[in-house]
Amino acid sequence: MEEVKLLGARPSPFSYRVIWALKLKGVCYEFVEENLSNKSAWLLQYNPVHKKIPVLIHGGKPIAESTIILEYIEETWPQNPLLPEDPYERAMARFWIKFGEDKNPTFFAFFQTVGEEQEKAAKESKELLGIIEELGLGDKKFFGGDKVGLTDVAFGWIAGWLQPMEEAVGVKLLEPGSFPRLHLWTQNFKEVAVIKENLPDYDEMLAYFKSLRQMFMALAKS
Amino acid sequence: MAKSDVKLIGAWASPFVMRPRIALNIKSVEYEFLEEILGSKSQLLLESNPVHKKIPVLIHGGKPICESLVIVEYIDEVWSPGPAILPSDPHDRALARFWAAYLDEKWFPAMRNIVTAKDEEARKALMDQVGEGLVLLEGAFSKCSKGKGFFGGDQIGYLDIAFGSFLGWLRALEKMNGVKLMDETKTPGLLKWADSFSSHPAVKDVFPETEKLVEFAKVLAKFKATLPK
Repeated sequence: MEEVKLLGARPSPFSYRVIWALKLKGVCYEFVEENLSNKSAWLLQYNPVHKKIPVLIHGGKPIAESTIILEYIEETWPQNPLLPEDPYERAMARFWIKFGEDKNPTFFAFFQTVGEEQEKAAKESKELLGIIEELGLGDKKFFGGDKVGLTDVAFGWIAGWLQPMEEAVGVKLLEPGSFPRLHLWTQNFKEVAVIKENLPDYDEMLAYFKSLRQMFMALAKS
Repeated sequence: MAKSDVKLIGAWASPFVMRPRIALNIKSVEYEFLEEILGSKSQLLLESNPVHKKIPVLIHGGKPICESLVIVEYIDEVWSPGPAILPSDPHDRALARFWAAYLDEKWFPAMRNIVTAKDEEARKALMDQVGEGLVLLEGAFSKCSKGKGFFGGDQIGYLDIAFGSFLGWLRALEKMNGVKLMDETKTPGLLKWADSFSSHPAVKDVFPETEKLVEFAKVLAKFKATLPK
């Protein structure tokens, strides 16, 4: 059994994606916490191109980029499949995972900007949530259907991180009345045992996001 | 499989459209190519890709699949047996996907922005970025090819397709700017690979001519100038 290590950083949602996938598959691993303001020699060696976490190291070989790590985990440990068997359904899952990644900048902008720029980002973010709800999730319980799949894991940040972000910014994006299905999904997702047991502490995240938000607001003023 | 069962909505100059075309050629799958016209989007495109309204879109048995690399993986999975496009080893697959993501998220945007760079300084900075990226990709080529002719080894594979689809535009850019971004000193492996790739039977009929792309770039620039800001 080859060794599995995960270089990550709490409370990064990207790290958690990998934690969830490994735990859903029952894979044992060692978590190595990176200090992102003082990156380890390991991280620089294992991800020289981007120098970012998470990095999975399996049998000494590194895999970087969270969504690529998710596919690697799915292929290496076939128990409890997280992707559908049907190629068309797999393509749909991958389409939505990519959609989420491509649209990260809009949500970052919501969190990092102020004034008119922030209002624009908030409006666009809500539109994206609408598209994700209507066309991605639809009437399914999970993006993966009856049970959690890779798409749910990829969108997990909406369930665990969006709320403290909204609270730190003082603007609500995911209103239950406006996005009832997506809101229900966040509740269902957080109830899954592996997810429930592996979510960062809300108050810690709120404090973290509040201090980050203050930093961005100060930057915007200067 | 009847030709009408497989349709691809695209345009000849798009590197992203080239990707599924090469994949279908590798698998010897016949398909109907539906060419979109610059400046308008067909009803079929808008209906098949309501989220992005972009090409390429593969329509197989009436069902649309969008995003070029998602389509390539789909083609690989549906038409098997047939020459494999993704490597079989999970770590090699992860490496191929990693470099394809790097190309799409970092390298190609820098290359594309050279055309609209606001001044010479900005253009030079972007060209340097593209050049540095090519050096990284030369390293990736050494590692992935394991001494063979393609990123995929003996046969062209996922990363060959992902990267190779940008070669036409790379050459057009070199011509328009009078520079050599891929050369014998810094990227000898890639230079040789580029020749092998562009003349490969699955590629050569869909590989755009440099001259045609240079002309098209002018048409595209004029068209973009007419768009509302």
